[in-house]
Amino acid sequence: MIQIKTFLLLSLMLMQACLEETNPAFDEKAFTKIFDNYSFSASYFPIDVQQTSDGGYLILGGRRLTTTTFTGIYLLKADKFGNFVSDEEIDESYVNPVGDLMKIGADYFFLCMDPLTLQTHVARVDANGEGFTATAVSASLTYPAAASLDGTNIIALSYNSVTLQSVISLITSTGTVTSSKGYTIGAGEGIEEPIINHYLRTGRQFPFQAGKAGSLYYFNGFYNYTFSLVFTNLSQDVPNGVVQGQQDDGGISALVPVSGNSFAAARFNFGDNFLLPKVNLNSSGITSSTDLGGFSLPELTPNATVRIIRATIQDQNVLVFAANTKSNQVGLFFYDEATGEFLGSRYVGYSNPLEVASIKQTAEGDLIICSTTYVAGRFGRFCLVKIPQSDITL
Amino acid sequence: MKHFYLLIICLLVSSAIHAQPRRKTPASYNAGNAQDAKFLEKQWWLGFKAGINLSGADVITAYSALSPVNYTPSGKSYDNYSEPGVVAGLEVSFYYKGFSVSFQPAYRNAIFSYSNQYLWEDSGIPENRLELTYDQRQQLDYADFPLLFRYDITSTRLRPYVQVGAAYTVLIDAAKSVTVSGIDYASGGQNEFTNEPIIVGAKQLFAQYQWALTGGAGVNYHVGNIRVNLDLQYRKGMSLANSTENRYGNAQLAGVGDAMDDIKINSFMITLGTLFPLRFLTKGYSSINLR
Repeated sequence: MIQIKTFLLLSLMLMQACLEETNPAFDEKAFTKIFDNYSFSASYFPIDVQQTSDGGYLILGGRRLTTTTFTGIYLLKADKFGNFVSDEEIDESYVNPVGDLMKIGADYFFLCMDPLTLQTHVARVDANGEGFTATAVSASLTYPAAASLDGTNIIALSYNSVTLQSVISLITSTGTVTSSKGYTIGAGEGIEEPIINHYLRTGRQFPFQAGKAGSLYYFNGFYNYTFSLVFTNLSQDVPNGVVQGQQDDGGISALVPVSGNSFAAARFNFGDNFLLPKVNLNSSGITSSTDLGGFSLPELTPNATVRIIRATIQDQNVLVFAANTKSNQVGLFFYDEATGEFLGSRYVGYSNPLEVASIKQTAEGDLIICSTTYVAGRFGRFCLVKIPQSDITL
Repeated sequence: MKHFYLLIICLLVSSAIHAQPRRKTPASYNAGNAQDAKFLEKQWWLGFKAGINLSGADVITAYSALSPVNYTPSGKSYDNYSEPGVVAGLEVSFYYKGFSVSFQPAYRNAIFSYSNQYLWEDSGIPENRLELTYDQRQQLDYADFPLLFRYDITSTRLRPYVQVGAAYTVLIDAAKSVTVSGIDYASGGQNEFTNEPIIVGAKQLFAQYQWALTGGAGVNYHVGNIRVNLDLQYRKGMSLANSTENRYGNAQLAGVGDAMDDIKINSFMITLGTLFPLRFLTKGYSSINLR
């Protein structure tokens, strides 16, 4: 009799253990959130996302403006469950938001532009996306194109339409330009047109990027008639090294330094895409990106937007490539950081199209993917997808 | 886990079978009215039943993949108890002096729907307007294992009864379909459209196990030695019917802004069945004692 009672008790406990219960931990661990605005003509696209210290997310994005062809600045704060908290539409005195969204101290910084003077400004907001301030940089830097963090300084790529130069600079968070160097994009008006179309978003969006690899700085932008990866020490008039593309039809589409001359990169060439999880780039002399080879992925959109991060997933150092696919999904491709070996893939999104803007690893080790989705197939909105580390199969 | 439940069923069925050797020999059945009455104080019944069920959802916590920035979401509008599903299964009952314990494993197909409505517009520009309705239909296949305690109100040939109990439920399969329809005013007129439905397997979106409280009433009608049973039950879901871990687990559904609420499913069930007595052997013997 006691055995029967024990059996029944254990059975009941087991049955109870299998039941579902409301669990906020699950709600925090994985979600898909689309931040919708009822305005028919409103259109938003994210640029970068940062997890804030409260576990929430701050998203920097752009928005359609009716008074100018430049894009406006839009900031959105979500809580740790991905739910909307607040948003800020910065007035049209500042346009052309440029990521990365960089954390310096307790605040978040990005670059933007005065639509009249075209001067680059350092914009600052708090962790809630509030308290926006913009400070003009201390030197004449127009058309900001890309930014990344170097300690507490900002590495900025900009375009000077007077001298026809791609300009790489070091800027403090207060806007002081401590170092700057310009490199010609080449002579003639034809070369400038795709750059201006990039800023007006009436043409192709180029994968402009700026960063630091070892002791050298680099930018991915136009140099000497081609879309090139340029290495510089910021003092020489001639770049230390150049990885040339094919005018504006080929070049590097994303780059992450791994160690020394070893990089994780992606490149495009006349619409084709190649992922290079482990590639040695020559930071001196002139080489060509077309010689780099790489894994061809025909499922990616022509000249696909690619984002690369280094991450630790399931105690393994991996490189995560996020790229737009022809099926309107975001493809995630995982490679071993040390060997470049392919580990797995995953595709995010299905019904409404997704276009990747940013991918980050959260403090908990999960992946957060910030992308543009088109609600009802037409309204551009921010989308935040969080994938638990445990759901990734390597 | 499936083996565990099979074990429970086997134990219950085997206990019914083990009851057989204890019955009296046929010769003793007709030994006299007093002995008959004593013998008929107990009876095992085994039978089949089938019918329909109507299901509805109680929302515990609402969720959505769409997080509005400048409007209050209308929430899901549930269309409960509107679409019948089938229910079919076995009944094994032990009767003793007007009371019965009944185990009724069954297959149940539960259907419920909800819809979301969205509107995009620009004030002052009437043609900048889009209305969309997302109709979401859930179809769930369950294996139910209810245990009921029943009391026969009378001991006549037509025996009404009341019953209470609990049920443990295992999810077999689930499917979800989403049909998007709407009116688009931006395409030059009032363009009403309905898109092809998105139909997906959605087992991962629902709880593998649930339990429920059951109450109901019914009537047994004795025809010869068998019972014809009409049974009505209301089942009140006591645990969540959705998966909390996989709420956003289906990319197709999350992509159109859908996320399952935390819900408990309730059901009305009406079944018709036939039950056969297990405790009699001779042809002329009655399975019940009619007072």
